[in-house]
Amino acid sequence: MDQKAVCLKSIDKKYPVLSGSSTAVHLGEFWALKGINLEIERGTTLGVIGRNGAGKTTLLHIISGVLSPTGGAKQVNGNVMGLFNLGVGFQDELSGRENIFLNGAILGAERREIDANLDKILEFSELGRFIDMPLGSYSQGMRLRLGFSIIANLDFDVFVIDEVLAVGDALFTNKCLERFMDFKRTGKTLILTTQAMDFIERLCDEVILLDHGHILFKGEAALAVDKYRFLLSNEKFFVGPSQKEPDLVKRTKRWADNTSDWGKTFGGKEVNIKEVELIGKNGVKTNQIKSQEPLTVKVHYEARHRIKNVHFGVAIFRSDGVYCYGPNTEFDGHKIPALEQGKGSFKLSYGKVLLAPGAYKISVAIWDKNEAFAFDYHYGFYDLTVTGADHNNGSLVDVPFKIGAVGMKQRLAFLFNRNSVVKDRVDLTVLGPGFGARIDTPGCSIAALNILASNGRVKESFVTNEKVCFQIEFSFGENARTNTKTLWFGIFRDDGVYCQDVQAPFTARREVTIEFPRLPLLPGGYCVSAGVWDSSRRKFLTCHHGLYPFRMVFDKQDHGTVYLDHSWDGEGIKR
Amino acid sequence: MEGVSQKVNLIRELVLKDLKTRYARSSFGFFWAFLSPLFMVMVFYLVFGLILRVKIEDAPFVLYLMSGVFPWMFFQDSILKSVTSLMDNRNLIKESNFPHWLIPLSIVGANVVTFLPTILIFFLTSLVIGAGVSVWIVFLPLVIVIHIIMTAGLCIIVSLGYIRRRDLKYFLDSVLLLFFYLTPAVYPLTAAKASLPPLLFKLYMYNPLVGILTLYRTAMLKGFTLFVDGPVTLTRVIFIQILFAALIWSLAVIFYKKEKKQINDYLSY
Repeated sequence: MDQKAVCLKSIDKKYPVLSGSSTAVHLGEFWALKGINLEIERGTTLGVIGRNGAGKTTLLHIISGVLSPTGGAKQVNGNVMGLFNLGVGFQDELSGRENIFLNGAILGAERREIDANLDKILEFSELGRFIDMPLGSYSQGMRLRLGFSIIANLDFDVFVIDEVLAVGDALFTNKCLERFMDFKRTGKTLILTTQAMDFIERLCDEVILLDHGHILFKGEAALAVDKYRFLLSNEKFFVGPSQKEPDLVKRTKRWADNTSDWGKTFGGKEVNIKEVELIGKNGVKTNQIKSQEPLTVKVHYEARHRIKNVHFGVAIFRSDGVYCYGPNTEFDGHKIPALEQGKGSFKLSYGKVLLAPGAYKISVAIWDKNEAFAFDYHYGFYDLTVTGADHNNGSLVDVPFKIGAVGMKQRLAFLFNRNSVVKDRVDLTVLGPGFGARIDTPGCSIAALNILASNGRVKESFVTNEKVCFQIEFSFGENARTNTKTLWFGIFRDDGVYCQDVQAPFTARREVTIEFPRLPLLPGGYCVSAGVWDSSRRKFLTCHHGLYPFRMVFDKQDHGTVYLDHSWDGEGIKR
Repeated sequence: MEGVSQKVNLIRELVLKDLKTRYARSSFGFFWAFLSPLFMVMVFYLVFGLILRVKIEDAPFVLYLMSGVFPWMFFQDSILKSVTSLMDNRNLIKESNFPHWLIPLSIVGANVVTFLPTILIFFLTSLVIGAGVSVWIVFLPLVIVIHIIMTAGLCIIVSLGYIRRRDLKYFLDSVLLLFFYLTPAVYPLTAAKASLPPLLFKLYMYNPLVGILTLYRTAMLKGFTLFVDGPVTLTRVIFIQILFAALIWSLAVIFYKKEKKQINDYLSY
């Protein structure tokens, strides 16, 4: 049977705000779940993990039908039973035995089914003579025993259980585990949330990590638990929905940072970062480099005692919080088995800093293996200034490119420092906020913009550092070939951050190609803008702003926006 | 939750639960179901019968009171318990994909269980006093069924309304008090007939609650002659009752269909 047990398609859930309630804080619109896509195969045990308030319980309630989704489509094959709060489904005034019948009836069981299973339920619950005491006198653990026993002895296809197992004692928990194994063997589908990660790792075939109502990760239990631990250590961590495929990373983990914590240090201080040196082109200590120059970050630390399983991280942020690049030894596959007691150092060397001129901050951290907590973390602590010809419109990176034009004898490719060529800078403020501006005039318009891979085929998704060509086709009116004009081309992150700026003198060609031999943007959604700027009238003759999207993917995890070639060096770093 | 038998099973469990929890841990237990209405009748008899000296031509005043107060108590109690019932039972409701209307129905069901024996009390009293039995008694089951159906529909509506409008409970407290005195539960119908102009009296009789009490009395009190020489005929009153019940139920169904998906959202707080 290839029929899915549960199939959710772009499920949204919004909770209503009660009118006229003076106690309710007006949250405005609160979306507990947003765009959840989930397919659960029959017989799978799925774990749902995430912080409190991540949307776990809402998701389970929707699967079990207790809540209806605000949007999207839900399909559940078979009958679902849920064990939610320990008060749910119970009446304190009634005895345990009476509650078995009431609870069973609510779960859709006939009286004779419960009668037939009563002995099994009583035996499983091990409540003994307490079964005839009013439920109000029960402890949380006893309620769990009763609730679990009822469901465990009824017939169901999908079993949803929410965070309640934690209150059981070790013996009962083991019993539950055994029962879960029975369920798995008989091909039942289990969906459970818990904060007990060992439970998750032992039981679940698949785990989803929820945060802020989005699925951050779906996959193997151990991996999901690692990611969750990282999330817990990093309170402000939030990226949008992730539809991860097994091989390639489709979203960069972090694109932006909260600047309010900059200049602070965190961590347990088992290792102390003593000094951080920034070293420029000729081995000179400096905190000012030119764009495209090399940079080395050398970190001196001192360990109080021998520490196992560490990793190093160095991150560069732009002064407004945009995350430029933050490699760490873990992502790069270097193992650091241990730091010995005493002083030591490591360094990270960037071959070419492809950042646009501006002010930047550097964070340096020494983490444990899982990035669960830092030994020492200097957060946005060090200043770096990148100089160079400024182009003043807020772009983040300066990636080498070639501009070619068709129509001459051959495709000409020339590399230039565009600031020396273009005198009149394009004024992007005329486009207004947001993407979507589309200006076309009779004299000049953009007919097409194709994004091509190295084989000349149109593609939408590129691997970081792949060759990417942007081919712009123009169409012209009668008197379009006068005046000085500037070709403008820009790459934006889909959250609006301006990444790459290209400006060049425009000679009216039908087709212009901008080629990036290596486009080092990190995974995520991007879009492209292009236009022709009339310098004398200071307006666009044509401009399509953010209308052409593409994606970047990468075969490894990385933080930030732009990949910079780098190498690690230091005591204890193994390749 | 699919299947009629499951729903029947569940409603039985809910009625049992309601009865058990209602009288749990009280010494008189289930007897309170009869004691309370009896005390109520005693109080009204004391005030209206002995102090205000209200006279009924058709029947002994005690029987007249019982035949009005018992059905009224059933109605009022069902409404007032139902209005907060979804909120009171949200523990149960949030357990599974639950047909919410079973909750107010189970409350009406539990009230039927306590109401029917009060009818027996009426006939016992009637036997003791020596008053005879009306020939219309054959219609009593029909009257009771109409009354239950009408009450159940109203209970579903108010329980759903309370989900969004929590004022409804206090509003109903007052409205039911008003309607108690707008129906001839404790005063003779002839007094209303005498003091109201014919047209207003006709309108008064069209009040479904007046109608149902009058039907009860026709079926239970020997010689209660309103419909024989009254301005409104028996068939018309029954017709109005059935129409009213149908209207209530259509409203309840429409309301439930509209609210169904959001009820549990509002039940959280």
